Amino acid sequence: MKRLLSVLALCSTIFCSNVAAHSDHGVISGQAAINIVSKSLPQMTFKEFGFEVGKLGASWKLLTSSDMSVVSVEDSFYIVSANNTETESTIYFQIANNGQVMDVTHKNNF
Amino acid sequence: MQHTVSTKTLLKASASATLVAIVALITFILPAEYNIDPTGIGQELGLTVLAAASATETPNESAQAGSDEYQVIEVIVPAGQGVEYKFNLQQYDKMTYEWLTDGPSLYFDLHGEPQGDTTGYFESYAIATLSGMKGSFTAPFAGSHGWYWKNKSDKPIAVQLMVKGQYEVIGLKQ
Repeated sequence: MKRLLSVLALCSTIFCSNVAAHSDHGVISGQAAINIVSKSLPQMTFKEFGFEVGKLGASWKLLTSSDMSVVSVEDSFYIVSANNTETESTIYFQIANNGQVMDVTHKNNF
Repeated sequence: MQHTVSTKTLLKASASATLVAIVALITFILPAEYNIDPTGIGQELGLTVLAAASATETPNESAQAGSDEYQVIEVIVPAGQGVEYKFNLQQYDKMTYEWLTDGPSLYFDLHGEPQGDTTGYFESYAIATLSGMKGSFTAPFAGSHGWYWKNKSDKPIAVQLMVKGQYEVIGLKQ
């Protein structure tokens, strides 16, 4: 009987990885990283967040998703660039896999 | 002597477990995660509402002017005063928001007032004193919903509010 129950438990675990709800909860996609940058830019024109780039000028509020792109995907974070055609400058966001903005710099040297 | 399980028993156990898993997948997991409900049981149990709204859903006829992209609003709360910034939402309309101040904390009350109410009734969804907050809410009733911010300091405080979802902007009330 014990062995039978063990076998039943083993069989049910085979399916767990396929049906486990929210198994990837907390890990963002590349598109989500871009959405986070899109939301962060207006906030960074409003106040200083302690990043290298400081408080951004008002022109950064006008950027759209087409001005942003995922530059690289690392083990624990994304690098997303945001290009401001008005000021002809680009800044780089380091976004952790949980969606936290870790740093924003003028150069991609993460 | 060690008790061993016969091949026949093992196969029966494996088949039973597989059957249970398939039933759970079809009746509970697919309706809740992907809004796929071939048996109708998911809907009866209220599981289909857990599935994320898909792009193929029929648009709500009473959908507000709102937006799928964040709308950025900036408000100044004068020293020693309170202001309200409100939106019209229909019942069950959803708003996602994030706001922050330019530094100091503000007392706030995120609340809703029923449409047509003359008694002064309102329902508070969140009350605290913070320098920022983010989240979402679903309007329990049609009416005006939004924030009251109170500045207890002696200097004006700026608030940046970002909202998206289903709403019409009413705007600032002082």
